[in-house]
Amino acid sequence: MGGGIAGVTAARRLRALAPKAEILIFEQEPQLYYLRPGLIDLLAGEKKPAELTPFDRNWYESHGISFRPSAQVVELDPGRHTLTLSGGEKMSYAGLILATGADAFRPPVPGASLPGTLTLRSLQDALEIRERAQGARAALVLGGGWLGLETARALRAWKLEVTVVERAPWLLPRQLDRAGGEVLATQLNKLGIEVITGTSCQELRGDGEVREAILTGGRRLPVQLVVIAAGIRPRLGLARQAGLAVNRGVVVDDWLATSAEGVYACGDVAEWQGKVFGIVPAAREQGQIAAANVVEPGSARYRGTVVKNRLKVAGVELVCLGDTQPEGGPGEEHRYASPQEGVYRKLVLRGGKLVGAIVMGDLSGLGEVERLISAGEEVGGELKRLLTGRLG
Amino acid sequence: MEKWECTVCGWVYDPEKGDPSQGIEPRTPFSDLPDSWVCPECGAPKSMFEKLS
Ligand SMILES: Cc1cc2nc3c(=O)[nH]c(=O)nc-3n(C[C@H](O)[C@H](O)[C@H](O)COP(=O)(O)OP(=O)(O)OC[C@H]3O[C@@H](n4cnc5c(N)ncnc54)[C@H](O)[C@@H]3O)c2cc1C
Ligand SMILES: [Fe+2]
Repeated sequence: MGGGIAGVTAARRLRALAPKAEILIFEQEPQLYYLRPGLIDLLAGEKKPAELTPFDRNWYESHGISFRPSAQVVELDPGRHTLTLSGGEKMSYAGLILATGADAFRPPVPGASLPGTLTLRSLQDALEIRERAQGARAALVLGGGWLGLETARALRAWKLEVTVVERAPWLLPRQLDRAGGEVLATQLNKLGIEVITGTSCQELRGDGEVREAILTGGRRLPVQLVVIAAGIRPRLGLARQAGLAVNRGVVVDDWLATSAEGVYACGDVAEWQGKVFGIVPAAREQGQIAAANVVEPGSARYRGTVVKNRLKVAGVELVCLGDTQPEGGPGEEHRYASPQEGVYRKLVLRGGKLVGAIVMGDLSGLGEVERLISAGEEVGGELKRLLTGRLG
Repeated sequence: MEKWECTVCGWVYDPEKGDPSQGIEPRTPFSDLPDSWVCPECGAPKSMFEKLS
């Protein structure tokens, strides 16, 4: 259920492991699987939908995978092993993978339902925001996380005045630390993006359409477009209805099994060891593992995904890896900064081993930093060189 | 010719199409891509790709 990266990866793995199985993907959106991260380029007018669609109809056909667009699953009965589609069609299954992803979160800001206030998750959303951007002069992005910043740069491509408002005291608060956030804000300013941190939007106003944002502290911004990028919420409706254990996401064990027999979950909908990863590499890995366990229960164990995020904003190089301790923590922190050049680097060590890194402005030596984090080797005398990159 | 998938973002390199954005001609096998080539979608290096089964 769900034709995003998690569902499609799972289907492909199922195909490889169970050559004779009948495999169906139900997808509520009207089109075939596409690269969600590519929506940023679509929004910026740099790519067309076809360029974001890795597999065409023929591909699914030749792989014996039936991809059914516009097919929303509305009910799940794990006891009877059946599911129901919105048209009323009922099916039975031998194994089921819940890969329904997440919705964009809409914080309860007064006025947030005014036309012109949008979120970005689906192809439809991206097209709608792009359409709005054509007639707008100024846009506000609520949320200074990865999605908010990339959305801001995509809107800049349409020559809009763009302001990003982040409630936390600095940008990317879950990965960057304060010093890094300040360097990043300066770099974004150079691209014409205004950044306001430590501030939230109190109200959106307009007469039929959004026209003004009122920020905490009283500042008023004239806007014709607002994009809310305030995080995701796993889609729990079906799981709740079916009586599966849910917390923030659908709770899964190390085999990605849910609390219902024969039902597995993967991707943005799943919560493993308290974590909802919300990134493509985790959705892929989990999709493969869920598929293996549907074919042979207990055959594949999930051990987590090393988080790696790279900012896709031309002119600003930034990668965050592993545990970056944005607000300090048990790890030993080492920093190198050259703010005038937009360079900032932080390495986090525990027991002499690298566990996380922030690399900004100068990505030299990134490959080695990455390798050390995955390998769990001791850093030893290499620390200084790793810290300064090419500049050292 | 073999297709390859980016493990970071899911983009698929199709040798039939090449990658015009980086001057890669159609019908260039994945193995012939230069080391400097990166995923046009997410910037991941060649080493992050897996052969599509
Ligand atoms: C604009 C944007 C940029 C991003 N950039 C990056 C990035 O650079 N790197 C990165 O790692 N991650 C990025 N992400 C996050 C990434 O896209 C997600 O982590 C990933 O898509 C999760 O895959 P998924 O298959 O679990 O969920 P989804 O991609 O959300 O797919 C779930 C699918 O299930 C369908 N569905 C839901 N309910 C039902 C139902 N009841 N019946 C039928 N179908 C249903 C949905 O329509 C959807 O297509 C980005 C996200 C966005 C929105
Ligand atoms: Fe990629």
